[in-house]
Amino acid sequence: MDLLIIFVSALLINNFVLSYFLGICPFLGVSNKLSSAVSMGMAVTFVMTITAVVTWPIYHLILAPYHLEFLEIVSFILVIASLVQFVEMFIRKTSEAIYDALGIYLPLITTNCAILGFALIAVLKNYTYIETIVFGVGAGLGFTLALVIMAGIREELDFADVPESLKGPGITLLVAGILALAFMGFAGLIK
Amino acid sequence: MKSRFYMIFVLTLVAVISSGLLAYFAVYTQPYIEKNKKAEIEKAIKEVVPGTIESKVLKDENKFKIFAGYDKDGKLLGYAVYTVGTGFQDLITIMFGVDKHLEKMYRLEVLEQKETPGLGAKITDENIFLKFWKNKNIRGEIILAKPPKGESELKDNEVNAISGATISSRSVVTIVNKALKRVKEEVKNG
Amino acid sequence: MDENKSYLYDFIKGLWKENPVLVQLLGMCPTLAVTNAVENAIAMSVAVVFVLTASAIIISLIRKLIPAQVRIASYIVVIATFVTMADRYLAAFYPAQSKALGPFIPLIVVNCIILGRMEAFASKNGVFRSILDALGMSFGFAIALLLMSSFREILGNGTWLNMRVLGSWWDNWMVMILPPGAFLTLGTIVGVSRFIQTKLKKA
Repeated sequence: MDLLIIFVSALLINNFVLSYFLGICPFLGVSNKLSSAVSMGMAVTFVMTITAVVTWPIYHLILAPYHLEFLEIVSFILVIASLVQFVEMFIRKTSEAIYDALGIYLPLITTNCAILGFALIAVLKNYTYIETIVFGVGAGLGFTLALVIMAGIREELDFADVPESLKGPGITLLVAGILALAFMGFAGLIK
Repeated sequence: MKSRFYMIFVLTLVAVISSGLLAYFAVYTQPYIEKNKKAEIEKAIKEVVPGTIESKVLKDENKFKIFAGYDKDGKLLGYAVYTVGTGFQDLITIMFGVDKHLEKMYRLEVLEQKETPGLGAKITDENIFLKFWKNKNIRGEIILAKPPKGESELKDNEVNAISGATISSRSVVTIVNKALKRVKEEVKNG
Repeated sequence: MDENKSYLYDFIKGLWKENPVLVQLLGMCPTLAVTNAVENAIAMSVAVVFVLTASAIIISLIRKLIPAQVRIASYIVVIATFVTMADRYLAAFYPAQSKALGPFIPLIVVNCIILGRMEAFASKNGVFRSILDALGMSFGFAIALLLMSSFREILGNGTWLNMRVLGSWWDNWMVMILPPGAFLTLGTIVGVSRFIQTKLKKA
């Protein structure tokens, strides 16, 4: 039951993009086409899940027992950066199809604050190993959901008559605001 | 070959210097951070168990803690209970104080919450919500009065719901009842 | 352009013409997340001024010693070091702010403004000019944050820096301090600043 709550909460109620404001850069940058939004979302979900698998043991089995919590930020960011590189290499060697779909998005993920933010929040909330992984999958899918909805709206927006100075980021942010309003309706879902 | 060695050397040097600096800074700030954390909990204990001078940790879990509060002569006054549960939006962290016979609740404080500002967040408001929690009978469960009653009509185990934020009010009641049940068990078993 | 003028330009370009938030659209996450109250925006800005300037000093000093291949990794370590310091300093001496900002102080590490300035400026220029650039950029960031949080706190809570500015007749626009208000405010501000910039260019 707790796991379901964590999952739904990360997916809808405390959506990473629309309520925690994490991963806004790719949200604005990659949401103009539906196909690239799906790929980016999948890449983030993938990396986030692996980050969950890797960072939990690092914090709870290495840093915390030896009172090295102050190295949390440095070690997490280095681990995530090398993880992304490793995943990219691995995918390139094993599957051409996946690499074609996700390849160009992987390097962008290193500087996606959603990943590091996720790792830090999981530590802050004191989740267990399983909870952290479920949280990672939920947060990644939540990110994908927000990105895909946004891309769907923006493809339609191309045909709308938007004032010159609002074109691009301006109108995207305003639409995101309305989307965030809609997502607020999910609060209380788990009760 | 030489350049690769140099590369590794530089990166290692940067990492070593940075962790050295951080270790020094961590040792310097650690006592302050710990003091802040302790002060926060201690202040809450003193609020919810009036007259507490000293406190002792009886149970220390992630989301459930019991503290015993003693007066200046070392006499047991009651227990402060720290508990975490799900609210409307996110987790709600609560601390409440009960007497040593577990019959009366002294006070309730909301330590942390992320409920909707202006609606659910009113659970931290003394005049709208918290005042109903003073000196409640806790031999049974706490019951939520909905629709809200006049203050004199409330029974000694009833608290008023906040109008417009029933779910947040009910969450607090549920969290407290769950914690009450556990406290009674824990205290009975020593 | 003579020397002095270009020094001045290093500093002021970040304030408006190349404002990292309003024009370059960098560092959006903290801009949206911590601007529900002016107090939080100020704490965040101070942390960014510190991290950006300190990292710029160190990186412009050691820029010739670092091989190009491990450049980014070294920058990240340097930045993360200063971020950890800022984070722990806040936790030790300003616990309330530290709690309100939550993970957003550690997240300065991946704030694109910082890494961007290191790569684009501090790694290519001397210490003095790097400091000017860092100060300009972080003040530009602070201006945007202050603007956002002022709007949101006044409309959403009737206060500015916890001081009452609107009378009791004001009905708080609760939505402004909630997540949607962040997006709506930033969208409007970005739109308006673009409008002004294109007008100025034409004139």
